[in-house]
Amino acid sequence: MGQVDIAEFLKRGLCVLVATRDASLSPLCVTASACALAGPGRAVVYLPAYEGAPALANLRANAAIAVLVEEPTTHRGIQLKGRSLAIREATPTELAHVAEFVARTKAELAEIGFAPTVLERMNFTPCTAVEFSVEHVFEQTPGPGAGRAIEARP
Amino acid sequence: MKLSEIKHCFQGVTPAGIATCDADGTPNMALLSQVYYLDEKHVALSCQFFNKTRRNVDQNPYASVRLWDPVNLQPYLMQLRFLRAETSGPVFDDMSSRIDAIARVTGMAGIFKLLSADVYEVLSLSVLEGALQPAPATPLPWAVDPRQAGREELRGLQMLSDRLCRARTLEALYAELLASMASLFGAEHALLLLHEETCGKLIAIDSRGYDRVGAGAEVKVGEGLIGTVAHSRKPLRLSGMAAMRRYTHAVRESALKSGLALAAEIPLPGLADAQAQLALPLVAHDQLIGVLALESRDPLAFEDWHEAYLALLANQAALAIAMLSEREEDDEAEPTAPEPAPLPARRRVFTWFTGDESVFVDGEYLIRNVPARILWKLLREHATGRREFSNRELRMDENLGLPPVKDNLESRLILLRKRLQERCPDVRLVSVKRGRFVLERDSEIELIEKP
Repeated sequence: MGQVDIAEFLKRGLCVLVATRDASLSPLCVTASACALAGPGRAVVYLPAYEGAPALANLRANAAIAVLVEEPTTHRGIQLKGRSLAIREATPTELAHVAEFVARTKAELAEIGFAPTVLERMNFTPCTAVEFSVEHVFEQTPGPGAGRAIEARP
Repeated sequence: MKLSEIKHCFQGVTPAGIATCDADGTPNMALLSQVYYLDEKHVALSCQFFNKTRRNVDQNPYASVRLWDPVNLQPYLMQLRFLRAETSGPVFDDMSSRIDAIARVTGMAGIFKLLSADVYEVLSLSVLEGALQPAPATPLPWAVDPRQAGREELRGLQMLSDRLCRARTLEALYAELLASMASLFGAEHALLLLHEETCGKLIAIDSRGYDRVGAGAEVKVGEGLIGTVAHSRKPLRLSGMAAMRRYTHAVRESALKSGLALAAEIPLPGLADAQAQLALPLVAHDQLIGVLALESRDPLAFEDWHEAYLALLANQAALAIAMLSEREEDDEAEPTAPEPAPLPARRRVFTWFTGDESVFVDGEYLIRNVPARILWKLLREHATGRREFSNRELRMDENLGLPPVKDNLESRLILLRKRLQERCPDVRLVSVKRGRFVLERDSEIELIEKP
């Protein structure tokens, strides 16, 4: 991916992982329900309530965030890095988008063999929206090119 | 909770996520292909590329790893501290041989390789409560009382041991071993290969659960899962093959974009859609006898304890094969019944190619090397009117090129029989007494020699 169309990529069935860290630089990995663009150089990630609290505490304290979005069937992935700008409840419109995103994620997971009964049990809501600045974008498909900075197509 | 309680999450069926943080406080998120359980307080992560994750833990040793249960997707969180990167020793060797085998079966040899086994201390392990809605009442596969399961397996082992001890011929032993894999251990797809020391290869002798027996198929020592096991003489288990294929395919695409040259992707032997494989070395008297390879479409078919008890039975099978191979008690010849006439209008053309010492039947490859020389001798002598042969006379025939010790003659004859069954059932080698057999044929046989 020399150049990537993030908006196009985010239309696929994706899993979202978020890294934050505390004051002692101890990192924390949490899953997110969905990720979307929120204007030029800005994106939003939705953290489910069951595990969002420690990550939100980290973000309130230091704002540093890294978001990995990857397609489970191909492991194609990109990483967005920046700083959180706003933490707020997801709006009803956003929750509808989250539901669509989650449906695509589940379809993707079904494709790699997870049964509907397993996927039905996964909780993605309620969730909190975290808006963040997209300062860097990296290729994250596993392999020798992982971690290479890429240009986001406007 | 104990780390060993979630060992089934360490099989690579679902990849793990790892968060790290550099010295400046910038977090990083990446995927991991393999997390290895070392003990209750330690795990090892595979470092295949010197990437941002590794650079970060060199600056700041803390890491946060997300694992998922491969069956119900329950997430777990491990907080880790990087201790050291090992580039040799047992942990590195074990991880490396697994990764080499994955690389070889996915055509990624040389690209998908272990740089280091990165050992981390597990600071905490937690289950993410609330990630899943309440479970239905069905118990998970590993919720079975392990002591009870262990007893059943022990009983299976005892039954197999009995069967192996009672086998009077190698052919019966091979058949019992493979049949027992399915009936006693639920491994429906099993392949037995014998080590051919002279050419550094493993030759398939018999199988169960595949479209064809595949007798005579060759694997080089050191190549693929089976060859790796033959080389290291240690059992090797690959789980979550579909997940691994997806992961290595992603690496492959990425490597191609980076301009690296790759070998053609080699298809997996046996089941095209195998989800788990386990290969066990058969070693007796410090000699590699062969490899027993099992496959399953269930990604979690083989777990740690399968590896342990199946290794135990592999040792027993190896000893039994070694002992039966050494026995040389041919019965004396007795007059045999006259040969019945061939069926009308049936004709088989056998061609001996001197150059590569192979035999073709009706223009199709049948067999080569020592078993081919044996077959050609039998066919030529049959043409002069002989019908019954003894193992002893084959051993005495220097032209056949059998090694003076450990000649594996009986196994070579079994291989020859299986190949004839598959390719030319009109011609058969039928045992009549210990160490003696007759050549039976339903068709006219024509022999041709070519350079």
